[in-house]
Amino acid sequence: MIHMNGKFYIAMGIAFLIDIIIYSIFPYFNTATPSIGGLTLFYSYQIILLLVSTILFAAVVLVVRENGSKR
Amino acid sequence: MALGNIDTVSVAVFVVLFAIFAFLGFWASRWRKGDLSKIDEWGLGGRRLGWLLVWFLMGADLFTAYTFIAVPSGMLANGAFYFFAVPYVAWGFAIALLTMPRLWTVSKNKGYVTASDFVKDRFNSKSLAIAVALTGVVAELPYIALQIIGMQAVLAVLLVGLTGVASKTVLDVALALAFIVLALFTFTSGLRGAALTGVMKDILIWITVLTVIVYVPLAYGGFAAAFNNALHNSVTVNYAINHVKKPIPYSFLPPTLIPAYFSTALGSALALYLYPHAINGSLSSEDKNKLKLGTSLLPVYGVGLALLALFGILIYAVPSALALVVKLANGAVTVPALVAFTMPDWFVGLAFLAIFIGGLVPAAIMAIGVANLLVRNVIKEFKKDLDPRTESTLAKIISTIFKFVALGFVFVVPATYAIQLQLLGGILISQTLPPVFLGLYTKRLNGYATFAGWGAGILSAIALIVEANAKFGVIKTSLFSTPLGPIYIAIIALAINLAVSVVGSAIASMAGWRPETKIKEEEITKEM
Repeated sequence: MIHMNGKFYIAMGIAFLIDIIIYSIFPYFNTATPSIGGLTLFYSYQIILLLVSTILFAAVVLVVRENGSKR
Repeated sequence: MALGNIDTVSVAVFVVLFAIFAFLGFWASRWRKGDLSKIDEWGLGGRRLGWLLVWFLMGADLFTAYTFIAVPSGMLANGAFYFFAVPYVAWGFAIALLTMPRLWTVSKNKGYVTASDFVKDRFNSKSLAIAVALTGVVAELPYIALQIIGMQAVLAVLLVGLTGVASKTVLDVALALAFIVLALFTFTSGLRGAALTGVMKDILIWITVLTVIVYVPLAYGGFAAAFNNALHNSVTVNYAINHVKKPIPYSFLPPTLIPAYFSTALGSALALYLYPHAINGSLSSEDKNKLKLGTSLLPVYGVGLALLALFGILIYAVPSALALVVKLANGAVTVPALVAFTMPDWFVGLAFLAIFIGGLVPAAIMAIGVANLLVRNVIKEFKKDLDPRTESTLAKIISTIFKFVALGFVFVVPATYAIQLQLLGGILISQTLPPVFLGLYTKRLNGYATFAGWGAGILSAIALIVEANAKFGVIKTSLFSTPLGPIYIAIIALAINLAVSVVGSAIASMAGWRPETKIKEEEITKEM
């Protein structure tokens, strides 16, 4: 059984899985074109994902409160 | 003959800024005063750091010689593969969010300072705790060595630029001086000093990164020009650095390297928050919510890392800088050379200082982590009656000694492949994942089984490193060829480790063993 305090960690685990998947769909981004600002897609895609990751992780932290943590 | 835009102004800026940096480090010991003679005060900044400062401190860990020297060097020498550092950073902070709040909570409840403290109580096993501590100590040494290579690369270009000759004696003297300052600095101010200078370092680093990444592409035809030049010149570079007459794959990842890319990113991410310095940084947070928010915002720093990695390709847009790298046959000077040939003299001094202290500050933080660990979790296990003052003095002395010991690792790995030092550390430290990370989630792992798993992981890791590098004589790769393709050795060894730990625990459980942990589940999740 999942205990009460696990909610944040489950949400974070899911966020991590999503992040792994979006960084692992190589056939979609492991190419030279299209290039953004002179950078091939391989690089520009992964840089944009850093911003996506930040938003994803910060959202989990801000939205999913950890039960029982003292404020 | 001078080199690029380096002149006396550059050197003056470098020296003045270094003086300010050194002053800040010493002054920090008087800032928000606590009793610095107590080890948890000295090592953890008295647990009084706010989230913004924690964010700076943890981010400062990311902008090290790894980012400035090792990754761009790898990119230049081998191409797209070394961009694995980008997913590594994103995943590393996800793993931190899954583990560090729990470790922080249990550490606060039980007064732990290191991961090994936790393991000792969780598994009721002294030997496992010592194994975890020693692994942390050994794994930090190559990582500190990487910082040394970074500082050396900066001084090399600075001195070549100033004198026109690259004299080894001058380099050795300069490096020795830097180390004496670092040793004094660590000795007197501890983590608080590192945190405060980390702020100065981060400001200088952001100025450097943003200026260069905007200015160089605009002034030299941008990445498009760099990629185009790379197409024509990479064979020359490959031959100078690797003695291979083939083009280097820059545009995207050769499909055969996908397993290597994925496993190296994942293995490095799993390792990141097992390093004593990373755990030390996390435990310094004053509040769990601040720690979580600070950590979740860290992938933003990865954008800087990604841009710096791309300097390994951008250097093709500046042929004179590339010529210096080829002449020295040393990829480690990629970023300093690029800066020296593109920026005005005063800015070169500023940027060089940023990169220099970018190695110095993390080296200090790591040395503090190592010292805490060795005294608390190894020496004190054998000599129980250390009084707090002796313990604190011992930690300070050890942190100083270790910085010099780390120098030895510099000779095991060619400077161009400095990143292998970090990957080597990652292979070792990732073997502490089952007791530390899994221990935060379950009490069902048996101490003896986990110890056996650790042993199997470490031994197989060493065997695989030796086997993979046998043909080189030095350490040049952390990948091992498998039927699935080349895989980062940390992942293979960790799989073996986990198999032994889990199967062993299952057998122990069947034989009637029941967990005897000294930690209640709620002590991991709830502040008491």
